[in-house]
Amino acid sequence: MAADDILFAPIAVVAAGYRSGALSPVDVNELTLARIAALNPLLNTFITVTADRARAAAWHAEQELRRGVDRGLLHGIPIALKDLIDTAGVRTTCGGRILADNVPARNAPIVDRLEEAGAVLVGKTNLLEFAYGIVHPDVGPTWNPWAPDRTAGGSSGGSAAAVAAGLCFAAVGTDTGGSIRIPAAYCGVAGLKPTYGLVSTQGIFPLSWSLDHAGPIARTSADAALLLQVILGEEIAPVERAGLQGLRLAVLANHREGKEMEPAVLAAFSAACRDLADAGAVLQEVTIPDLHLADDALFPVLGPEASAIHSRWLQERPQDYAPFTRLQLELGLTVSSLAHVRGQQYRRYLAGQLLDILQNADAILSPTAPWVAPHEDPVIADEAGAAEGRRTGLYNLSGLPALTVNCGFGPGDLPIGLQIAGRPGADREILAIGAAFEALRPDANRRPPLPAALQE
Amino acid sequence: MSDNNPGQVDTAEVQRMAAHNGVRLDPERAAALVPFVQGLLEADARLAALDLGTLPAAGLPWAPFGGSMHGEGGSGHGG
Repeated sequence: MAADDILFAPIAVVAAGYRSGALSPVDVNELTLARIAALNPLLNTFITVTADRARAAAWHAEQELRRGVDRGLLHGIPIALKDLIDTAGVRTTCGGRILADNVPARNAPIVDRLEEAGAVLVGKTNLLEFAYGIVHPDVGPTWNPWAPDRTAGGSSGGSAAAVAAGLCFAAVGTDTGGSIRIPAAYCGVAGLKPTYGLVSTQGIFPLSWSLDHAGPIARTSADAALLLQVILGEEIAPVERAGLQGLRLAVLANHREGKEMEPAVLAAFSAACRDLADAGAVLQEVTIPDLHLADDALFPVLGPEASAIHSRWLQERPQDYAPFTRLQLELGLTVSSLAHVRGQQYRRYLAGQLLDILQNADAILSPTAPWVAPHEDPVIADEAGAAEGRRTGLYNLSGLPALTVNCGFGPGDLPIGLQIAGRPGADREILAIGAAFEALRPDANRRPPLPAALQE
Repeated sequence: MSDNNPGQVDTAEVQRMAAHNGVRLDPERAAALVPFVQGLLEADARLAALDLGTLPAAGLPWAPFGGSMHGEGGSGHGG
């Protein structure tokens, strides 16, 4: 198998290769590290590459597998973590200057789970500063593997780009308004924002306690499901469904519309809906009154929580933030307590409306983002930021699980995401729907064009 | 300011809002926030007009009475 074929293979295929002896964790890890060395200067995907630690973990995995100690499908598989997830002894910068030298003493519990499963951590991935404002100039943006003059998206852009570029097999990101799903859509991979509270956020630097979620990013829904099961400490079992016949899918009309929608995104979304219907799913159009108020509710919830978290640094080290991060943190100080409470109340109202839809549907479909990857990440607090997160933020507010999978390519051959949302706790079900959709689209998970850096 | 009429905010008002939360903003920084704060006040007026009454503002959004994470949910409508 050629190096690229190995690095873009499904995790189950690599795992089978380890057990048959066709592949070795040490060799796969070295291929991964070599690709990171070649591409990270171009993409700025990793803030820290943990090469020595990865080599030791890969060697250990290989020895264990030879001895018959099998920790499951992630054993010996290179993975990455967003650089706000605590890793004992490995710096965790949150993408900025304030914590540039922060080395946690302990792992986040999800990191313990990944290590117990034998996963090989190859590095800590780039992100928007504190997963919030914008890129910090000390760190710089993550560039998109499909077009290195465009953003990989935020805030988990490093995780999504690393997965898309074959620099790891899966990664963990976080999502407070779309920060797993938007970069996953821009980079053409799968990303799940789980049900609120399903995945522990202990040991993960918070942006907004009531909206934060941690979840998997992988090239397929099946690989994302595998990572989810490991970080939940569950037995690994395939997430699949027997076809799409009779599946009831609600198409959220509000989110097919809007002046921000690029025609190519709408066309790809419509084609995805047609393919699902042709495969036997039953689609119905639904509309949520007052859904525009989700835009109004997001910042009053998020902003004050973020500003409370950063209040001490905002007073003592304001100049160390990127300018727009500082601006947004200062803006959070101006939200009244009543506005915060009204935002929290709206979450109940919105969740009720979504659950009403899901009484007659198994999942809700929409485009993930209204456009393909832009050149720069918009600021959350302005209109472009609101438009970018309009189709994702409602699931942070409501807490319902939402998955993005690739559903085509737009201008410049840039990826487009299809979002599939479900009932609380239906994470596995929407991953299974995602996998069934991916099976209809064999080209959906194609690789980004090989950069010149690797052809030399 | 009433819920449905946010009025026009100015630099001094933004400084007061931040000061209530323990941060002193110089006039230049406060002035830069004015259009954003104005937008937030208008957004809050729209939410206030929805009049959600006694709908809970805490707990899991889909579990109106603080049920389990994987509960059946149910309508959160109220108020």
